[in-house]
Amino acid sequence: MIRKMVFTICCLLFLSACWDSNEIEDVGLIIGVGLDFGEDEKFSMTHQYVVPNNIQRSQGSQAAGKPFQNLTLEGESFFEIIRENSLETDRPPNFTHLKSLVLSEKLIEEESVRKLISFFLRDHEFRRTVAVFVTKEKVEDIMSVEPTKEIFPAVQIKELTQNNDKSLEILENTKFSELSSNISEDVSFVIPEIEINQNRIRLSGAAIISDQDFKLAGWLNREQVQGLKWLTNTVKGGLVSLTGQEEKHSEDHVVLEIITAGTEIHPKIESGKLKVEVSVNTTVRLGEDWNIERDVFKQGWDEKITKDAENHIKKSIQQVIEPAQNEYELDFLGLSKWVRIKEPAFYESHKKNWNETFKDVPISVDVKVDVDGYGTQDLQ
Amino acid sequence: MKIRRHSIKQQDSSKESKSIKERIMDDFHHSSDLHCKSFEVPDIEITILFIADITNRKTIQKLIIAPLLFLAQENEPITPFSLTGKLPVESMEVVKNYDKINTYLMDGFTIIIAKGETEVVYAIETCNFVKRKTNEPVNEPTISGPRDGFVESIQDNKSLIRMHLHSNDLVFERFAVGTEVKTYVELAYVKGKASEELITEARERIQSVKAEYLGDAGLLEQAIGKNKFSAFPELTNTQFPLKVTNALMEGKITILTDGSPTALIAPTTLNMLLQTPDDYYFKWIPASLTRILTYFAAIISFVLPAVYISLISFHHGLIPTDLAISLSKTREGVPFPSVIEAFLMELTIEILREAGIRLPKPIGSTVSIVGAIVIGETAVSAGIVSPMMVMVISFTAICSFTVPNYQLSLALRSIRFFLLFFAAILGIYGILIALFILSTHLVSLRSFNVPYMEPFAPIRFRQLKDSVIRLFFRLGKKDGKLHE
Repeated sequence: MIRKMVFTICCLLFLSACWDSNEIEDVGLIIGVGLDFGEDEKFSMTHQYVVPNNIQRSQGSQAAGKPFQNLTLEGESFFEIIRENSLETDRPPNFTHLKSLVLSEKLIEEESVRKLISFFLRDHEFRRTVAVFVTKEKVEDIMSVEPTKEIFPAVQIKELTQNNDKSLEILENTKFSELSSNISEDVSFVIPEIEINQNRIRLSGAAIISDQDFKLAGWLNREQVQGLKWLTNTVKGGLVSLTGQEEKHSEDHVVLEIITAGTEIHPKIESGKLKVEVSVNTTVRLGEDWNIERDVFKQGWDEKITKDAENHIKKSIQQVIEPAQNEYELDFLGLSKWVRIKEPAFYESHKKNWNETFKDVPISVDVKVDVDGYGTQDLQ
Repeated sequence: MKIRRHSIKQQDSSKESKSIKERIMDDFHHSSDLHCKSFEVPDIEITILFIADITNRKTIQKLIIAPLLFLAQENEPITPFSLTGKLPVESMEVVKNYDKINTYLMDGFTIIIAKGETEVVYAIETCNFVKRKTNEPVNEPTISGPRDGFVESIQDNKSLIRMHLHSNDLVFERFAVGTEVKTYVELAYVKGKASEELITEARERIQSVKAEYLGDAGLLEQAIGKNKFSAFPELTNTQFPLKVTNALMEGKITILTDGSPTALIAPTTLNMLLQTPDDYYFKWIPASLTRILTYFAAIISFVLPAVYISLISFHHGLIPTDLAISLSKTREGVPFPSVIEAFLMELTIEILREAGIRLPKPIGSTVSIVGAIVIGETAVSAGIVSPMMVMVISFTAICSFTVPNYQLSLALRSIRFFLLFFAAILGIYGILIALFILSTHLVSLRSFNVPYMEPFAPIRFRQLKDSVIRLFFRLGKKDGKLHE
């Protein structure tokens, strides 16, 4: 009995993985990766290493240098570049704490995203929550922008999208997991874009990735991102600004704050033709009002605001439907998902050339705005 | 202290040559504290023998010598047999077996040898052992419970139990244990509550102890325990009378040892060792929260260093990024691998703890100051250990102090090193292996035929309400904790 037990314990101890330990201070933690083209059509990969010693924790002691180190290396494949790191750092790179991955415009124009991230999806060290971004700048530059509030640029990039409940122009992070599911489902999608503005990192629009070859198809500007957010039911907050007349700061400039928002997409088949009805329901509150004459205690004070807001939102949604159907002819709006769920038979028969079908689908937008508050206001 | 025991034959042969008095004196090797006084009462010769330092001399003078001298003046005919009832004492036994004389003497009895035509030996209880007043048990402080604790005298301890448990069903059984020197052991139980099998088992275990000399309850505990290869205590060890009476009312048995302030309660479960009497004196909501805290701290006290080690040397990805970065900053420049560092710190803490116990109290506090400053501050600033490691180890130590039973906390300390070893080799996987081994061991343990992990394994839903949580009990119900 005892002999059996000893044997079992020995097997458990010596026939198992994870034998070798690696102390945490001997590991090169990488928190950001940037992919770009280098010279001679070679890939270049920027690693953002944490340099723990340079992090200033207590007051007084001045840090010797930057708390991060960007290491840009070139090579034929990413795995090779990572291994090439070993020539320059004493600490083996560890990607378990990777926060963000930045792709350059040049790269996704020429290479399929599917190929680019295949290595990162295959390896176990990369977490599925890594946020992916696209930039028109040089990746190396954007990764070295001195962060303003965070310690590391990579963390700052990732955390920027945390404000997506404050502004309509901020998309949620595109994570590795979403990237891989979109790619395996063969649908077009968008990736948030970052840029350098006055030496600070800033979110701007988004890049459209085509489902044909998973390369860059075009760009969305910030206004179009708003429409996309309404369409994909990802609005969590933000502002609806009604300028009223053409000139700004006019008397009836009104800013509404979105409290709740919900979008439903109803695909319908009418005599063999697909028709999509988009209905948006949102509750807003009067946030800023330049018309001090407005009497909110009078019945019907919000009628005009409601109508204006409905038109505003409708316009912004159409702003993104229009290029999707006419310019790019790509369904990055996620309509295919709803058609697949609600009209599976139709989707099944049109799956092959969905983009062809999509570009001619009539999309009607119906917006319902409910102004349910005006904050605190003096009684006149 | 050895006793030469005489067989009946020896007794017969020596009877002719030596008097009983001389034989006793020989048996005690003419020890200076064995006092002997002889005087003549008409017709008979009386010899009084007693050990001076364990008897009350005033009692002997007043209740034995004075009445005897008074009898001498009365001119009444006295035979050696007629002494019974003549002395104003509660009991006066006639000793028929020579061997018993020695035992009586050592128990503090006074031996009277009356020699006339025949020789009769009487024993009168006059004992006066050194006694300590009852005071609060040092190991088991309580907030609102009674403050009395057991002392070294078994009589006092029995009196304490009787004081807290007024029941005619409370039974004490006396055993004399020891092959060379006898030590009195009392088995206590409440008839009707404790099962007959349990009582028989306890009797058999006590009787089968083969030790030369049992100095303390701790020795008895090991002698009657059956799990020789387990770090976990098989009997609960307490100096707190109310804990004993509560256990007795729950149908458990208690063993008291003469000369030891510790009572042993059996059967014992892990659940019982993590309870304190205070749990019952407060309302059930705060009491339950305290219980949960105790269980939590007990688990932390043996798991935390192992988990920390495996996280920082195997599974870096499981630590939140900010923590990982600051950990790697604090560990920068530490010369040892984290495992060695942990063993070093653990060893230091254990040494400090032992030193604190062994040293006299006034110096003990110096040790803790030196320990805190030298180990905590200097070691960190010298870069020998990382501050996080100091934090982990000291938090673990503090957690282990919340375990109410000292025997259990010793067991958990041993297990901590066991887990640390596995974690050092295999990380979290190793911890899991160690925990599997540990739980297999715990589940197979039995204390007096009761599963050690009851009520968790085997699961007893009824008893679960008094385990990790303590639900309210209905007083007066049979399953209630209180004996009213």
